[in-house]
Amino acid sequence: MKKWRILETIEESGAKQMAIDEAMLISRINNLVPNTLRFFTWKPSAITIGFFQDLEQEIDLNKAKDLGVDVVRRYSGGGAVFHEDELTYSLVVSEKDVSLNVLDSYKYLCQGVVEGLKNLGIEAKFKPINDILVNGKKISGNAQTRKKGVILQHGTILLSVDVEKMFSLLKVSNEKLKGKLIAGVKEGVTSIKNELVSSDIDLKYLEKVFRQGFAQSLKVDFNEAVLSKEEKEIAQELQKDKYLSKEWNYNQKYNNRFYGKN
Amino acid sequence: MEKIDYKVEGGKFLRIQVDIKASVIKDIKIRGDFFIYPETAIFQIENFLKEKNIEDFVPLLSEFIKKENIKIIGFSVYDLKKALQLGV
Repeated sequence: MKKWRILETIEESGAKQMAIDEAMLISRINNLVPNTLRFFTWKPSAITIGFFQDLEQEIDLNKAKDLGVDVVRRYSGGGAVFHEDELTYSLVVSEKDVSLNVLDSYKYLCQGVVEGLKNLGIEAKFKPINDILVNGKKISGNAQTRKKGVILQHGTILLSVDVEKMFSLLKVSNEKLKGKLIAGVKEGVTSIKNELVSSDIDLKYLEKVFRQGFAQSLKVDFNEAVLSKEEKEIAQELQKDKYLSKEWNYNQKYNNRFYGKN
Repeated sequence: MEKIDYKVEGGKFLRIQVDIKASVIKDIKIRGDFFIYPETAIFQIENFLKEKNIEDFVPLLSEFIKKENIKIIGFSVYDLKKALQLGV
Protein backbone atom coordinates (compact mmCIF):
# COMPACT_ATOMS: atom_id res chain seq x y z
CA MET A 1 0.00 0.00 0.00
CA LYS A 2 1.30 3.46 -0.88
CA LYS A 3 2.27 5.75 1.97
CA TRP A 4 1.08 9.32 2.22
CA ARG A 5 1.81 11.83 4.92
CA ILE A 6 -1.01 13.24 7.06
CA LEU A 7 -0.34 16.46 8.94
CA GLU A 8 -1.71 17.53 12.28
CA THR A 9 -4.94 19.52 12.12
CA ILE A 10 -4.44 23.17 12.92
CA GLU A 11 -6.70 26.16 13.42
CA GLU A 12 -5.23 29.28 11.85
CA SER A 13 -6.02 32.42 9.83
CA GLY A 14 -6.92 32.20 6.14
CA ALA A 15 -3.63 33.74 5.02
CA LYS A 16 -1.66 31.23 7.07
CA GLN A 17 -3.71 28.26 5.85
CA MET A 18 -3.33 29.27 2.20
CA ALA A 19 0.40 29.82 2.74
CA ILE A 20 0.75 26.34 4.25
CA ASP A 21 -1.12 24.79 1.33
CA GLU A 22 1.23 26.44 -1.13
CA ALA A 23 4.30 25.54 0.96
CA MET A 24 3.18 21.90 0.78
CA LEU A 25 2.80 22.23 -2.99
CA ILE A 26 6.29 23.70 -3.39
CA SER A 27 7.88 21.06 -1.16
CA ARG A 28 6.12 18.31 -3.10
CA ILE A 29 7.35 19.81 -6.40
CA ASN A 30 10.88 19.74 -5.02
CA ASN A 31 10.37 16.14 -3.92
CA LEU A 32 11.15 17.04 -0.32
CA VAL A 33 7.91 15.52 0.98
CA PRO A 34 5.60 12.68 -0.09
CA ASN A 35 1.98 13.07 -1.19
CA THR A 36 0.21 14.73 1.73
CA LEU A 37 -3.24 15.21 3.21
CA ARG A 38 -4.19 17.59 5.98
CA PHE A 39 -7.33 18.97 7.61
CA PHE A 40 -7.73 22.43 9.05
CA THR A 41 -10.12 24.98 10.49
CA TRP A 42 -10.28 28.77 10.29
CA LYS A 43 -9.75 31.35 13.02
CA PRO A 44 -10.98 33.98 12.51
CA SER A 45 -13.70 33.06 10.03
CA ALA A 46 -12.62 33.91 6.51
CA ILE A 47 -13.78 34.40 2.98
CA THR A 48 -11.57 33.06 0.27
CA ILE A 49 -12.00 34.10 -3.34
CA GLY A 50 -10.87 32.21 -6.40
CA PHE A 51 -7.78 33.18 -8.37
CA PHE A 52 -9.88 34.68 -11.18
CA GLN A 53 -12.33 36.68 -9.11
CA ASP A 54 -12.40 40.43 -8.65
CA LEU A 55 -12.13 41.04 -4.90
CA GLU A 56 -14.08 44.29 -4.76
CA GLN A 57 -16.76 43.01 -7.11
CA GLU A 58 -17.38 39.88 -5.01
CA ILE A 59 -16.92 40.92 -1.37
CA ASP A 60 -18.31 43.67 0.86
CA LEU A 61 -14.95 44.51 2.39
CA ASN A 62 -16.37 46.95 4.95
CA LYS A 63 -18.76 44.32 6.20
CA ALA A 64 -15.94 41.78 6.43
CA LYS A 65 -13.96 44.26 8.50
CA ASP A 66 -16.94 44.96 10.77
CA LEU A 67 -17.53 41.27 11.37
CA GLY A 68 -13.83 40.48 11.84
CA VAL A 69 -13.82 38.14 8.86
CA ASP A 70 -10.51 37.74 7.01
CA VAL A 71 -10.47 37.98 3.23
CA VAL A 72 -7.86 36.17 1.18
CA ARG A 73 -7.37 35.18 -2.46
CA ARG A 74 -6.69 31.49 -3.07
CA TYR A 75 -4.11 30.15 -5.50
CA SER A 76 -6.86 27.97 -6.97
CA GLY A 77 -9.72 29.11 -9.16
CA GLY A 78 -13.40 28.70 -8.37
CA GLY A 79 -15.79 30.85 -6.39
CA ALA A 80 -15.95 32.84 -3.17
CA VAL A 81 -16.34 30.70 -0.06
CA PHE A 82 -17.28 31.72 3.47
CA HIS A 83 -15.35 29.52 5.89
CA GLU A 84 -16.74 29.38 9.40
CA ASP A 85 -18.10 26.16 10.87
CA GLU A 86 -16.36 23.73 8.56
CA LEU A 87 -13.60 21.20 8.31
CA THR A 88 -11.37 21.92 5.34
CA TYR A 89 -9.01 19.47 3.71
CA SER A 90 -6.10 20.02 1.42
CA LEU A 91 -3.89 17.56 -0.35
CA VAL A 92 -0.86 17.60 -2.59
CA VAL A 93 -0.23 14.72 -4.94
CA SER A 94 2.09 14.16 -7.85
CA GLU A 95 0.29 14.20 -11.23
CA LYS A 96 1.98 10.91 -12.09
CA ASP A 97 0.10 9.27 -9.19
CA VAL A 98 -3.22 10.63 -10.52
CA SER A 99 -2.92 10.30 -14.27
CA LEU A 100 -6.26 11.91 -15.00
CA ASN A 101 -7.34 15.13 -16.66
CA VAL A 102 -8.54 17.94 -14.40
CA LEU A 103 -12.25 17.06 -14.53
CA ASP A 104 -11.70 13.37 -13.83
CA SER A 105 -9.17 14.10 -11.12
CA TYR A 106 -11.71 16.25 -9.27
CA LYS A 107 -14.02 13.25 -9.16
CA TYR A 108 -11.23 10.91 -8.08
CA LEU A 109 -9.86 13.16 -5.34
CA CYS A 110 -13.30 14.24 -4.06
CA GLN A 111 -14.13 10.59 -3.47
CA GLY A 112 -12.32 10.83 -0.10
CA VAL A 113 -14.96 13.29 1.09
CA VAL A 114 -17.77 11.15 -0.37
CA GLU A 115 -16.42 8.08 1.45
CA GLY A 116 -15.96 10.05 4.67
CA LEU A 117 -19.57 11.20 4.53
CA LYS A 118 -20.61 7.63 3.88
CA ASN A 119 -18.69 6.59 7.02
CA LEU A 120 -20.88 9.08 8.90
CA GLY A 121 -24.00 7.54 7.37
CA ILE A 122 -24.54 10.34 4.85
CA GLU A 123 -25.00 9.30 1.21
CA ALA A 124 -23.26 11.83 -1.02
CA LYS A 125 -22.43 12.14 -4.70
CA PHE A 126 -19.83 14.00 -6.68
CA LYS A 127 -21.29 16.51 -9.11
CA PRO A 128 -19.11 17.91 -11.85
CA ILE A 129 -17.38 20.28 -12.02
CA ASN A 130 -16.25 20.43 -8.40
CA ASP A 131 -19.10 19.89 -5.94
CA ILE A 132 -20.29 17.14 -3.59
CA LEU A 133 -24.04 16.89 -3.01
CA VAL A 134 -26.32 15.19 -0.49
CA ASN A 135 -29.84 14.69 -1.85
CA GLY A 136 -29.12 17.33 -4.47
CA LYS A 137 -27.81 19.86 -1.91
CA LYS A 138 -24.22 21.05 -1.83
CA ILE A 139 -22.18 19.99 1.20
CA SER A 140 -18.68 20.45 -0.19
CA GLY A 141 -16.95 22.68 -2.76
CA ASN A 142 -13.49 21.89 -4.07
CA ALA A 143 -10.78 23.66 -6.02
CA GLN A 144 -7.57 22.52 -7.62
CA THR A 145 -4.41 24.08 -8.97
CA ARG A 146 -1.56 22.33 -10.72
CA LYS A 147 2.06 23.41 -10.80
CA LYS A 148 5.08 21.64 -12.25
CA GLY A 149 3.60 18.15 -12.10
CA VAL A 150 1.91 18.47 -8.71
CA ILE A 151 -1.78 18.89 -7.87
CA LEU A 152 -2.95 20.95 -4.91
CA GLN A 153 -6.60 20.38 -4.15
CA HIS A 154 -8.49 21.87 -1.24
CA GLY A 155 -12.14 21.67 -0.32
CA THR A 156 -14.74 22.43 2.27
CA ILE A 157 -16.77 20.03 4.38
CA LEU A 158 -19.60 22.09 5.82
CA LEU A 159 -20.48 21.43 9.46
CA SER A 160 -23.15 24.13 9.50
CA VAL A 161 -23.87 27.16 7.36
CA ASP A 162 -25.07 30.66 8.21
CA VAL A 163 -26.50 31.74 4.87
CA GLU A 164 -27.54 35.23 6.07
CA LYS A 165 -24.06 35.99 7.37
CA MET A 166 -22.51 34.60 4.19
CA PHE A 167 -24.69 36.81 1.99
CA SER A 168 -24.04 39.86 4.12
CA LEU A 169 -20.39 39.45 3.07
CA LEU A 170 -20.88 38.62 -0.59
CA LYS A 171 -21.90 41.20 -3.15
CA VAL A 172 -24.47 39.99 -5.62
CA SER A 173 -24.74 41.43 -9.11
CA ASN A 174 -28.38 42.37 -8.68
CA GLU A 175 -29.32 43.50 -5.15
CA LYS A 176 -33.01 43.12 -5.96
CA LEU A 177 -32.45 39.39 -6.41
CA LYS A 178 -30.61 39.00 -3.10
CA GLY A 179 -33.68 37.69 -1.21
CA LYS A 180 -34.32 35.09 -3.88
CA LEU A 181 -30.66 34.10 -3.94
CA ILE A 182 -30.57 33.62 -0.18
CA ALA A 183 -33.70 31.47 -0.35
CA GLY A 184 -32.14 29.50 -3.22
CA VAL A 185 -28.91 28.88 -1.34
CA LYS A 186 -30.81 27.86 1.81
CA GLU A 187 -32.60 25.32 -0.33
CA GLY A 188 -29.50 24.25 -2.20
CA VAL A 189 -26.94 23.88 0.60
CA THR A 190 -26.72 21.41 3.45
CA SER A 191 -24.21 20.52 6.16
CA ILE A 192 -23.15 17.63 8.37
CA LYS A 193 -25.09 19.02 11.36
CA ASN A 194 -28.14 19.34 9.14
CA GLU A 195 -27.89 15.77 7.91
CA LEU A 196 -27.17 14.03 11.21
CA VAL A 197 -29.71 13.57 13.97
CA SER A 198 -27.18 14.42 16.65
CA SER A 199 -25.53 17.77 16.10
CA ASP A 200 -22.97 17.04 18.80
CA ILE A 201 -19.98 16.43 16.56
CA ASP A 202 -16.46 16.02 17.75
CA LEU A 203 -13.87 17.44 15.39
CA LYS A 204 -11.34 14.71 16.23
CA TYR A 205 -13.92 12.10 15.29
CA LEU A 206 -14.64 13.85 11.99
CA GLU A 207 -10.93 14.01 11.15
CA LYS A 208 -10.71 10.27 11.76
CA VAL A 209 -13.74 9.55 9.62
CA PHE A 210 -12.53 11.64 6.67
CA ARG A 211 -8.97 10.36 7.02
CA GLN A 212 -10.42 6.86 6.64
CA GLY A 213 -12.47 8.10 3.69
CA PHE A 214 -9.37 9.28 1.87
CA ALA A 215 -7.43 6.14 2.82
CA GLN A 216 -10.23 4.02 1.32
CA SER A 217 -10.67 6.03 -1.86
CA LEU A 218 -6.98 6.62 -2.59
CA LYS A 219 -5.96 3.15 -1.36
CA VAL A 220 -3.16 4.57 0.75
CA ASP A 221 -1.86 4.41 4.32
CA PHE A 222 -1.12 7.58 6.23
CA ASN A 223 1.97 8.37 8.28
CA GLU A 224 1.36 11.08 10.84
CA ALA A 225 3.74 14.01 10.48
CA VAL A 226 4.20 17.73 11.05
CA LEU A 227 5.20 20.41 8.54
CA SER A 228 8.88 20.20 7.62
CA LYS A 229 11.28 23.01 8.52
CA GLU A 230 11.36 24.11 4.86
CA GLU A 231 7.58 24.13 4.63
CA LYS A 232 7.34 26.26 7.75
CA GLU A 233 9.85 28.75 6.38
CA ILE A 234 8.17 28.94 2.96
CA ALA A 235 4.74 29.27 4.57
CA GLN A 236 5.95 32.11 6.77
CA GLU A 237 7.31 34.00 3.76
CA LEU A 238 4.20 33.37 1.63
CA GLN A 239 1.87 34.38 4.42
CA LYS A 240 3.60 37.71 4.91
CA ASP A 241 4.61 38.61 1.36
CA LYS A 242 1.77 37.05 -0.64
CA TYR A 243 -1.43 36.14 1.18
CA LEU A 244 -1.44 39.22 3.43
CA SER A 245 -0.45 41.57 0.59
CA LYS A 246 -2.79 43.93 -1.24
CA GLU A 247 -0.97 43.20 -4.49
CA TRP A 248 -2.02 39.56 -4.34
CA ASN A 249 -5.45 39.92 -2.78
CA TYR A 250 -6.56 42.77 -5.07
CA ASN A 251 -4.52 42.27 -8.23
CA GLN A 252 -3.49 38.59 -8.37
CA LYS A 253 0.12 39.72 -8.46
CA TYR A 254 2.97 38.02 -6.65
CA ASN A 255 6.39 37.40 -8.01
CA ASN A 256 6.90 33.91 -6.67
CA ARG A 257 10.56 32.95 -6.38
CA PHE A 258 9.76 29.34 -5.53
CA TYR A 259 8.84 28.00 -8.97
CA GLY A 260 11.84 29.03 -11.05
CA LYS A 261 11.41 31.06 -14.21
CA ASN A 262 7.95 30.15 -15.45
CA MET B 1 -15.25 49.71 -19.15
CA GLU B 2 -18.61 48.06 -19.45
CA LYS B 3 -19.50 45.26 -17.01
CA ILE B 4 -21.10 42.06 -18.29
CA ASP B 5 -22.27 39.25 -16.01
CA TYR B 6 -23.00 36.00 -17.78
CA LYS B 7 -23.90 32.61 -16.28
CA VAL B 8 -22.75 29.80 -18.51
CA GLU B 9 -25.34 27.06 -18.74
CA GLY B 10 -23.93 24.04 -16.91
CA GLY B 11 -20.79 26.05 -16.27
CA LYS B 12 -19.44 28.94 -14.28
CA PHE B 13 -20.19 32.64 -13.86
CA LEU B 14 -18.34 35.12 -16.04
CA ARG B 15 -17.90 38.69 -14.79
CA ILE B 16 -16.32 40.61 -17.62
CA GLN B 17 -15.14 44.20 -17.81
CA VAL B 18 -14.70 45.21 -21.41
CA ASP B 19 -14.21 48.17 -23.68
CA ILE B 20 -15.59 47.45 -27.16
CA LYS B 21 -15.48 50.01 -30.00
CA ALA B 22 -17.11 49.20 -33.35
CA SER B 23 -17.13 45.49 -32.42
CA VAL B 24 -13.39 45.56 -31.64
CA ILE B 25 -12.16 44.70 -28.13
CA LYS B 26 -9.99 47.53 -26.89
CA ASP B 27 -9.49 46.25 -23.34
CA ILE B 28 -10.83 43.27 -21.40
CA LYS B 29 -10.71 41.70 -17.94
CA ILE B 30 -12.27 38.26 -17.64
CA ARG B 31 -13.11 37.45 -14.03
CA GLY B 32 -15.33 34.82 -12.44
CA ASP B 33 -15.48 31.51 -10.59
CA PHE B 34 -14.04 29.35 -13.37
CA PHE B 35 -10.72 27.48 -13.60
CA ILE B 36 -7.88 27.98 -16.06
CA TYR B 37 -4.68 25.91 -16.12
CA PRO B 38 -2.16 27.41 -15.78
CA GLU B 39 -3.87 30.28 -13.96
CA THR B 40 -1.60 32.97 -15.37
CA ALA B 41 -2.84 32.11 -18.88
CA ILE B 42 -5.81 34.38 -18.17
CA PHE B 43 -3.52 37.37 -18.74
CA GLN B 44 -2.29 35.86 -22.05
CA ILE B 45 -5.90 35.34 -23.13
CA GLU B 46 -6.85 38.92 -22.23
CA ASN B 47 -3.85 40.27 -24.15
CA PHE B 48 -4.61 38.08 -27.14
CA LEU B 49 -8.18 39.40 -27.29
CA LYS B 50 -7.13 43.04 -27.59
CA GLU B 51 -7.91 44.47 -31.06
CA LYS B 52 -9.85 41.32 -31.99
CA ASN B 53 -13.34 41.63 -33.43
CA ILE B 54 -16.00 40.05 -31.22
CA GLU B 55 -17.64 38.50 -34.28
CA ASP B 56 -14.65 36.49 -35.46
CA PHE B 57 -12.26 35.90 -32.52
CA VAL B 58 -13.60 32.41 -31.70
CA PRO B 59 -11.44 30.31 -34.10
CA LEU B 60 -8.40 32.52 -33.44
CA LEU B 61 -8.66 32.21 -29.65
CA SER B 62 -9.41 28.48 -29.89
CA GLU B 63 -6.23 27.99 -31.90
CA PHE B 64 -4.21 30.12 -29.46
CA ILE B 65 -5.49 28.12 -26.46
CA LYS B 66 -4.64 24.87 -28.19
CA LYS B 67 -1.18 26.06 -29.20
CA GLU B 68 -0.38 27.30 -25.68
CA ASN B 69 -1.84 24.13 -24.09
CA ILE B 70 -4.25 26.14 -21.92
CA LYS B 71 -7.16 24.32 -20.27
CA ILE B 72 -10.33 26.22 -19.44
CA ILE B 73 -12.99 24.68 -17.20
CA GLY B 74 -16.38 26.31 -16.69
CA PHE B 75 -16.81 28.18 -19.97
CA SER B 76 -15.98 27.80 -23.64
CA VAL B 77 -14.63 30.30 -26.13
CA TYR B 78 -18.09 30.32 -27.67
CA ASP B 79 -19.65 31.20 -24.27
CA LEU B 80 -17.23 34.11 -24.12
CA LYS B 81 -18.50 35.34 -27.50
CA LYS B 82 -22.11 35.08 -26.33
CA ALA B 83 -21.26 37.06 -23.21
CA LEU B 84 -19.44 39.77 -25.18
CA GLN B 85 -22.32 40.13 -27.61
CA LEU B 86 -24.43 41.26 -24.64
CA GLY B 87 -22.12 44.24 -24.36
CA VAL B 88 -22.67 45.54 -27.87
